[in-house]
Amino acid sequence: MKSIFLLLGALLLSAVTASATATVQKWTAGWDNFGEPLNYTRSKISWSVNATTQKLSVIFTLVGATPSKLYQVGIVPFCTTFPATFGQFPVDNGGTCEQLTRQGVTATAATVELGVVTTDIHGNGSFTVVIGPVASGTYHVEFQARDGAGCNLIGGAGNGSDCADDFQSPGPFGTTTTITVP
Amino acid sequence: MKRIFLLAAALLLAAGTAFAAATMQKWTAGWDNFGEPLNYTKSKISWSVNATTHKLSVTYTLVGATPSKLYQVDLSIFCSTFPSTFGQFPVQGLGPGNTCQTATRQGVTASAAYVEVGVVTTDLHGNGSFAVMVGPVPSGTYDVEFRALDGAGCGLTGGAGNGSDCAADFQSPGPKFGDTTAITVP
Repeated sequence: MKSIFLLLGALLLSAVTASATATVQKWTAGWDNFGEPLNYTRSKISWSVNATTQKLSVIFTLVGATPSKLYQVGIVPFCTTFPATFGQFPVDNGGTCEQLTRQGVTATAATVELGVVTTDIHGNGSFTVVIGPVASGTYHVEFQARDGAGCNLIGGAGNGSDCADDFQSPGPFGTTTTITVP
Repeated sequence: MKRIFLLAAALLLAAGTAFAAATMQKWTAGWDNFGEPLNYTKSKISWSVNATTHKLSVTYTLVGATPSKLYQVDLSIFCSTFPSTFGQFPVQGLGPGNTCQTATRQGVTASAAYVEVGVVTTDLHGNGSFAVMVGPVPSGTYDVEFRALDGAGCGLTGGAGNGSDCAADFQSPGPKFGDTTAITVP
């Protein structure tokens, strides 16, 4: 019996070590649109890195947004150079870090389109994605939710007004979260 | 120690009662498009009903589809009349008096309503998945097909609109329009 408890303890410890505690952060408005409805208190992004698998898990949650609407979500690494892929996802424009000026800040960034949050009749919805394996390194990123779905992807609204950024995190533009993949 | 084991067994039994084992089923082509790429062996839908919360959980998985593409996924409920909502989602395709919309596909005529629940976004390899929990759903037996559409925005704001993206690339169970899975919510 003692051996079983020791084994269970070891397994638990191993799991805790591999999966870091999730970081929860809030959305802010913009950097393109500032009038899109959202319950900023209840909406969030939750992310964690599994050090063993080098996978990044992200849960995008919107509460009180526009009902029955598609919000394409992604990760925006601020960079000077960047690979063409991030885990299993392509980076927009082959990984080019493009210069942007938003909210009075000029910075260079790449974008990885990860998925879509679809809201229900209350304007609530969430999307979970596991990205990886991600190359070891430190990434300075913002999370974003766009004003529709189809930006740099097939089957949506295309590269028009749906590419505009409704929500960012942490924000304002260029204020980043550091994600370290060991 | 014996008490701990009895408590653990009781908790396990309670959990087992509330959470039915997930049902897994495969995709088939169509009912509108039949040439969209997909690894039909590895792709699937997994669903279960929680009898306590009356919530339906569904995970849509596509493997080997078109890379970097949006596939809107839904529940097609075969019906004569249907409520305006299904869980927290609006129901599309209802006529006057909440009558279900008649359609003919693959030589079969039937009436159905549609619940658009989300989008599968594929990666570099054409792989992607989307999980959703719908509910609480009223008690009843629902005859449904799961669908993946040829884009995103059908009946929703912010996508491609109500055009060719509304066409069904994949259905389950199929293989014919109107071949349904019975989902019972107690």
